[in-house]
Amino acid sequence: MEFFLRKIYPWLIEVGTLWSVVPLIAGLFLLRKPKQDMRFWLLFLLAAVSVLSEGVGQLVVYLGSKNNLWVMHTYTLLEFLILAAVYYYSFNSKVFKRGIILATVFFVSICYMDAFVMEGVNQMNSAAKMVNNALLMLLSILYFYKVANDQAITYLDRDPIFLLSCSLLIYKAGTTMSYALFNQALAASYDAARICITIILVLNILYYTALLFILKRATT
Amino acid sequence: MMDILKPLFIITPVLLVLAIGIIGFVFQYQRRMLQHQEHLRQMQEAKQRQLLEATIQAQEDERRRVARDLHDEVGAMLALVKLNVHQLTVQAGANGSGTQVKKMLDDVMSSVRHISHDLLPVVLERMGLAHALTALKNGLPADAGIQLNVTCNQNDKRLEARTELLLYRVVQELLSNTLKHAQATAVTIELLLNATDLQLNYQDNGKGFDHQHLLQQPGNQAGLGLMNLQARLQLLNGTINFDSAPNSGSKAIIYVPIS
Repeated sequence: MEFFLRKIYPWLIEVGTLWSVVPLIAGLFLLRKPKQDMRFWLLFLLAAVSVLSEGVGQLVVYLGSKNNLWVMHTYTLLEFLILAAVYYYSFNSKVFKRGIILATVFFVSICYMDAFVMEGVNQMNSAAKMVNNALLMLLSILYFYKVANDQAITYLDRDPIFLLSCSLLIYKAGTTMSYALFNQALAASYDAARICITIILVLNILYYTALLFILKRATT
Repeated sequence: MMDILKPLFIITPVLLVLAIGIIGFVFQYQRRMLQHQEHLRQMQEAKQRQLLEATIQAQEDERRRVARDLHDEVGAMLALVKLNVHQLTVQAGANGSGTQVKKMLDDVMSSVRHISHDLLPVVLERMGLAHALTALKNGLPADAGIQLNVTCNQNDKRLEARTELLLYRVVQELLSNTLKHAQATAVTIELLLNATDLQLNYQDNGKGFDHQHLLQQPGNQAGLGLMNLQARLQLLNGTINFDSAPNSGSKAIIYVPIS
């Protein structure tokens, strides 16, 4: 464990941070393709927001601040809004669409509460993250329900939103506990917090790699 | 440190396994649903094929019956009428009008024989497809102004009776279309028989047509005729490809497996 935390963890932090640029670069290349629908632009925006959030986080640390967790509060909110919009455009059912709007309103209030009433902007937004993860996993499963009953879809791996749902489900299922326990782990020791971050970073790399393929699928 | 992270190490793998399980289940469910759909589609296709086969068989049976009735009953009665007319004209000594009536009767008898042969191609049954196609020349109206050339690489080779009949009907339909619409002066039919399949090339030098446009027009009779040709060839697991454009003649290439 000691070897991992001293030797591999710093390297993982660098790779994990830089990896967010991969889908954005791929998206920029894919802009040249003739067909891009609304979902592509939203996913491209998600990739851009991810890079921006990582960049701002690094910049804040570079400028001397010891806490950049407020960036996470903003990113969580923006990520949910973009992904909710992706699902809003992907569902045909009015019930699901209304549900997404209600979920968005609910999530925005949770984010506000978490940032200003509960944990505060200088703490990891565990509560908002857990609600975010739960809602996005729910949306993913609802999309699975949609495609499982849609006879027009023959090849699931060609559907970008299905791929997005798969990657979101794995990513969110894998990171939920890490985010939930992060504040307690940080209070106990830095190493415990680093283990939480390690899990998040590994899954981040997988998620951004998946986002690259999803963007590619969204253009054709 | 480990005590705090214990829930993380227990719940995270469980959640990941659950997530992967859900994804696997969706894939499996969707694949099974598609297989079921494919099975239903195949069953429906087989049913339609059976129905089409039964319809075409009934049509052929009816043609056979009408042809036999025309030949055996109407033809015999007309021959009898002709004999009586001959006797009457001889007795009355009315040679001029009698000859005219007899000529008209000859025309009627010839027409009946022609219709009967069209409905029941005797040459096809007795001598095979190549000879039957060659005999189509005789059935062409004298004023059509069409020269029909038929070539075959194996004139005496016989195919399954059903295959021969369906192909003969297809050529009849193509020829009928040429006569009705193409304003052609020459038609070439080429029959190439191999051990495993046959190719039939039908070509005219008429005004041609836009195949795709014709098929897209709803309720179009010509389009229905082409679809009818395709349906007949589907029964033989064959295909028909049209190569035609306005003012450049038309060509139909038919492939049928015969092994």
